[in-house]
Amino acid sequence: MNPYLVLGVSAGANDQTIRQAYLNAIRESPPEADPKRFQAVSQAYEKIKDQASRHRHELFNRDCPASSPLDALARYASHRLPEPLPYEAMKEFLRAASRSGGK
Amino acid sequence: MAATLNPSETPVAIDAQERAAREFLAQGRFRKARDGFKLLCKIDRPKFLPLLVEANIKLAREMAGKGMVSEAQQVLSYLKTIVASEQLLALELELGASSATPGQGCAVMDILKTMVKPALAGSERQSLADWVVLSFEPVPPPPPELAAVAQELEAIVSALRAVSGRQFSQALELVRPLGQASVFSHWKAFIKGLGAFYCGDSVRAARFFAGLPAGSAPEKAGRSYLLLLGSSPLSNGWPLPSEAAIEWAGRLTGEPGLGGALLRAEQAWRKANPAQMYQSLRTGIPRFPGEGLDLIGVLSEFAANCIFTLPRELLDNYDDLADEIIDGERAKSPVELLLFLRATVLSSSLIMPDEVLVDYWEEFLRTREQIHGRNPALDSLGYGWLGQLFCQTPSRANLDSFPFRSGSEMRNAPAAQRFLEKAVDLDEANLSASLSLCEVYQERRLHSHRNRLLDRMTARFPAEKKVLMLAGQACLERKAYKRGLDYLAQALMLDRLDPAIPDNLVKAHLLQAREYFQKSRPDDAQKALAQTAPFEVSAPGNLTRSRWCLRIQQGLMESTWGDQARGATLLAEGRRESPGEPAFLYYAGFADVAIKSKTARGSVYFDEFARLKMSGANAAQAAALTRIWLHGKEWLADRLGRQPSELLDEYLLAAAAHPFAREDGCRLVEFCLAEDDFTEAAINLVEKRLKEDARDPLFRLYRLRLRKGTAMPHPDRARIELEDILAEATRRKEDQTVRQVRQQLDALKLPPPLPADSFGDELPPEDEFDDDSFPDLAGDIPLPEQLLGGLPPQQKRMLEDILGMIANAPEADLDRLKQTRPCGMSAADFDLLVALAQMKRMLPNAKFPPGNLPPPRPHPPKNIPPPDPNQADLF
Repeated sequence: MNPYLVLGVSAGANDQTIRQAYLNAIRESPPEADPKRFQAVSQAYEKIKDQASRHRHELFNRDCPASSPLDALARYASHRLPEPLPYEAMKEFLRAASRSGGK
Repeated sequence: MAATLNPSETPVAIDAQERAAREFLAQGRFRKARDGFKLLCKIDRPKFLPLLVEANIKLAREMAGKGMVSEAQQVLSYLKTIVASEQLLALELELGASSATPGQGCAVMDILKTMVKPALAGSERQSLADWVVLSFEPVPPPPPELAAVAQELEAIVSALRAVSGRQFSQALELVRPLGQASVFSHWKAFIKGLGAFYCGDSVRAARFFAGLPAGSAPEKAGRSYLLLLGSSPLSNGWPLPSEAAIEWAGRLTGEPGLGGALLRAEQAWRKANPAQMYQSLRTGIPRFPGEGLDLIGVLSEFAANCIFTLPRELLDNYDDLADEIIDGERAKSPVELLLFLRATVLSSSLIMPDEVLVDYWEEFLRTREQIHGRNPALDSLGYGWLGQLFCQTPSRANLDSFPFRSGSEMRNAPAAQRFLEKAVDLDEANLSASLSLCEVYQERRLHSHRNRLLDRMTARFPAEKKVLMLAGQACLERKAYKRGLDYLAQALMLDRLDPAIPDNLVKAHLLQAREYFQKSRPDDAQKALAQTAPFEVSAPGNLTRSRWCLRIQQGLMESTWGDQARGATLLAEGRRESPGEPAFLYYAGFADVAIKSKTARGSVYFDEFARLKMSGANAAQAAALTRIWLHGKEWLADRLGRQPSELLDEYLLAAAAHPFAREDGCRLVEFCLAEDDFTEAAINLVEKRLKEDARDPLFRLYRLRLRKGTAMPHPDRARIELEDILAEATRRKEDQTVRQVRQQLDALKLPPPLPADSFGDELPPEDEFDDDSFPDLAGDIPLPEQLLGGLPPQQKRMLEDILGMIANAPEADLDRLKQTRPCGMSAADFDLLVALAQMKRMLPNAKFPPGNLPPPRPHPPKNIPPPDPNQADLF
């Protein structure tokens, strides 16, 4: 997954911002509490921790972030938690969902 | 279903009809079930009416779900003729056929009244509950009998509002009083799922959403959340989520309008059509592809980088798309061009023609600059990578055993130099490019360029061990010993554990001592020799710094230029501490040639070695000699004559005739496999071992690997043999052998053959080829045997190999291959054979005779991994 997304930093973030985001993320997800997230955060940090790493990532990154287009959607949501829909939008969503067919 | 059922039917026939109708109902074939129960009602109305109603309600819902609302309403009208209308309220509301609409409080109250009636079926009650929640209307003051249910409804609606406002705790508090028996309990579970989802507890959220009653409104909404949680089964064989569920999942992440495109992309992906997958996203999403840190960005990264995960058979499908976008100049945006150029180059860099590779990569860097602005450090990295790619030895598995290596081992040394120089010019801090450029200068013998570069590098990277080492070695080459020693000493300060540094320091001191001796400054020479003392090691295996090796070198220098008596003493000491007489003589022979003069090729020590009685030869000593040979080969470089290898060959053959430990035998065979000069000894060792243990898997593998040229088995036979070896190695738990055999089996895997075309149809079946016949390289074209008749067998075998390679090698290797004419064959004859081989290349389906040549590889394999230096190279 895109390391900037995993750490929640912008593509133009500098070393210090990225390090701070990394420290915050591992504080939130220490290895004993959430080993998978910790691993993802650590790997993401390694990829963009300094300018040379960021350049290498930009040029040579071969990671495929998902196993299918819908998996890409799920992976994206897992790293960027959406905000709840505003109330009116939620009403619309629930009504539209109830009208959809299928079991 | 019999349409002629009548009350006079026998009970057996009625039972059968009832069974059939019930089965239809269970299978979801509601129309058939309805028809069945309609007939059965004529026989026993009280019994079958509820089933007829159920079948009709389900049929109406199915129709409504498919958008056939008017048809559903017709069913509803029919239902009203056979059942009380209050039982149909839920269905009526669902179909929008009721006069009650959201926004009318009294209607809500009516529905609540219906809901509390005990006669109502559970599913109907749930549908009514969904309807009143989705009305999102404040409930007017209810009569006492409806107070409880109205309060629960109020709690659900308020909780949903709280979730929207991120008040998750409050939402949970609001629904807490609702019990499991509540008609709104599924909404309570949904709200708890929402709370867990937005708090990041994906496991809990998935549990809540997955447990919702099927067909209920919260369950349908939960499908979009389950998609986002990655909990929906997405693999092939599972039904795809609906477009609406995908669309809403996208909207929940803030990306509306993706549903259709994502659904079509997923369908194409499941049908193994990645190009179609890409096109679906490309045409369906206006902002696709993108580089942002949003969903479009992630989809774009997936769509571009999936090329690195595609199996070989799907790569062509995607490559065609890439060609269309890049070469057809049909890129939707610069970002699309950027993504495709990068992915194409990275996935095909090993097989692309050099010019195309350069064009694509430079265009990629230009496009990147156009989008993101100039970045010299990044450009330097990019050009450095390109240069390093050209530094690599061509990684062609089928070229590894190629007999004639001529010219540079680098893929394209001039191009490597050009791009590495550009990389260093763009960013002098690019250490990796600078180090590679040093290698290229070394390869191209541009020593002054290399020395100037190293001078700049030592100033720029004063604390880089590798730079200091290279600079030190370069100084030794140009006899600047003092400066070289200085660099090496600095490197040692940086890393005291790297054994290469003391090795080089010792070499430098010895070279310096020799120079002093030659300049008649024995005192200085002895001081230089004394400097080696701190680096001496007792292990005899270290051929640079072990005590016996140092004594031999010191003794030879003293004997030649200094104190002869002292020299004799040192040599005697070296002989005493050496691992054996043959090792001493062999090492002293190399050292003698190296120390004495640039032109010397022989040594008295080699002569003495030749006089050794071979009756005492043994595998352990032979292993020591092979190590000395490898060391000496590097030491003497272009001054290595035939004598040392002939002596070693003689010793190895003698050792192979004596009993040896399996481990020693392995070491020797591995050595022989790496060096071309000792094949006969290797074969003897292998055969001797297999006489003792005919099933020994490792030695059977060696035997296969030793078969070259015409003796090479047909891939099918080799595979069978390898599989048998694998089974034996597995049985004996020889993990390393198992790994080696698997590597060989992998190397045998070939790309899928092309579909049969008009050429293929005319070819004889493969069985018609005779394994032992000479290769008919041109298919139906007869090979001019007279051209080969005069060649010695070994040359003939090599020629066969070359022609086979030409017929199958990638374009990039053709020129190099064509320059490999064997000695003794005229250029005209060779050209004719090359032309025949190339004709074969143009007829990829023409068959090669099994046994001698590899099968056709009409499509160059994609994603060839970098060469594995440990991998055997014989298949």
